[in-house]
Amino acid sequence: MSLPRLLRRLLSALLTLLILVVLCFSLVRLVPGGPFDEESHLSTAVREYQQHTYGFDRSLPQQLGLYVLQLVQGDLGLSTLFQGQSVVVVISRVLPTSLNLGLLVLALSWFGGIGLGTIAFQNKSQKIVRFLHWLFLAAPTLFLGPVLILIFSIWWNLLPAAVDSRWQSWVLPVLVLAIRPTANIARLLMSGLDESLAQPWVQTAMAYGISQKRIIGRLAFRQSLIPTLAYLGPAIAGIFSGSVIVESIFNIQGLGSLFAQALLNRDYNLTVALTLFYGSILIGINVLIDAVMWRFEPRMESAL
Amino acid sequence: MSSARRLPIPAPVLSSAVFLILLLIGTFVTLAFDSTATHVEIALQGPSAQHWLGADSLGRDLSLRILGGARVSLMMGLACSLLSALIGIVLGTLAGARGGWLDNFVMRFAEVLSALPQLITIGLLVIFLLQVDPFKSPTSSFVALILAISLGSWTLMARTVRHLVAREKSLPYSESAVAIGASGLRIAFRHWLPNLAPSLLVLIGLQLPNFLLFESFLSFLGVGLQPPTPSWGLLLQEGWRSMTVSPHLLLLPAGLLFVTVLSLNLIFEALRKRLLRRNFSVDLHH
Repeated sequence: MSLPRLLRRLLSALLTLLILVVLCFSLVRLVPGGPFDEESHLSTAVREYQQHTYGFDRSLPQQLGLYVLQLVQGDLGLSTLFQGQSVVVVISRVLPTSLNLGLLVLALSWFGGIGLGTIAFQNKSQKIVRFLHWLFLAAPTLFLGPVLILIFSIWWNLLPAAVDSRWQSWVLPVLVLAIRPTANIARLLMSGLDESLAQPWVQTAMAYGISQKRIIGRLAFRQSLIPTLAYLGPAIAGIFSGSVIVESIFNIQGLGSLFAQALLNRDYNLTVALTLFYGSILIGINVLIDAVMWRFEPRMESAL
Repeated sequence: MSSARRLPIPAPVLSSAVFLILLLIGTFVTLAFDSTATHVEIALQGPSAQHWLGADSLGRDLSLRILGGARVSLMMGLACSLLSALIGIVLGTLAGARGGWLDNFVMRFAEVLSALPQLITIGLLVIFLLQVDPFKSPTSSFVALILAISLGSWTLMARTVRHLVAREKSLPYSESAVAIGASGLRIAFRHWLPNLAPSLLVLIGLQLPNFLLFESFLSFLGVGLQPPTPSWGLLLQEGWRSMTVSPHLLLLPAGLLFVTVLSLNLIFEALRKRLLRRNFSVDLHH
């Protein structure tokens, strides 16, 4: 992969990030009324002091300038929901939990999807996977989470309904989040294998008498992975979205439930910081995926 | 679709029937009965002759709640699809037809929006709109939700339309329309839109389940529609709270949501395949 190409991609990602910062900031600061409006018992002096501490008394461009400046220094402002704690502290406190959950889900859906797709393809049982894919496509986290808790935790008493220190308690949330991406990856891989087995060079290899196992493993697999790689970006975005629901349902103290709380309590700084956090992670991941795909398939011009 | 043909009725037809019946009965029920009337004496009762599906924790008839919720949720979903399609078609046509800085601007904006997880964008927009409250009406949470979902999800439509319009623009018929002296608006409305309509309608349909789900997600989290409005998200939330005592309060709305999303997927996937066979492209861009 050429360096200028990667640099161009990085610059474009930076521009996207910058627009995201401005957009989030203006969207959130345009809201009339502050988080202290309901506390009418406060005296004007206290109120002004609070407005000043949180920087709400300056003009919008000034606030934006200040915000970007602080952002560069790694300061994302104070959370109003968590009594003036730094947003960065609040986020970093729950980050490990979400990272664990996210990586588990991602690993399960990637390896599970690839494994399932390959096995189904070789056993000619693609119909089952396609059928399951249809079912899971219609079963969002909001459906699966409560229903699985009802069945496995309340009726059968097999697994805990909320996450605690036991490993068993992670089974349900990971499963609920991973089911959809797994089914999607399996299906994409199967279509990819279908497509690459029809390619002339694979046909040639078959004519030479190379076994199908070897053809799939050595030749077709690499090409068939490209659609699944391209799907990883949307998959991760979907896992982020899903974790807002799943973490709220399973009582996990992570980024998703933090976002839900920030929304409910209208914590400006925290909402923007989380949006920016999700956005920058996804933008970064997409650059990474593009780079990997270029290595896999140098002919490809751009990812999407 | 060979498996669909083996059924006595094709799955898409069956699904369309399910969808329409839900919408019609839902509308009828909301017009005829009050789905928010509470009767504390029957709270959490199971199914009976008088209340077919039992009652919820406040003693509201569950069958009325679910059907009323069907109407609210389906109408919300339809409204969101139409609005987001409108935004996407207008912006996509402008970007595809004009090109240049406008194209760059719209597509860059679309890229920023699609860089975010959709639920995050929509959540942010919802609290923004609820706070700004541009309409000052008692139904503002409906309006805010519809606007937020549409503003957060027009990008797919805009990209698709831009792509398709750029293709149509280069075809001879567009050139001759320009040569005759047709205005840009006329070409867009009389030529491009009718040509692209089948693909666009299917794309709208394929996105409809997402819109239903976003409404449910946000209402479930407490930032969408507010009780006592019956909506599937709120019903799921209520069911989730009283799940240990009366599981049917959770299972019935959840099952209905599942069936609806499955039917919609089946209908529009079948339509998409049919269009593909006739060489219309329905580009989902991922």
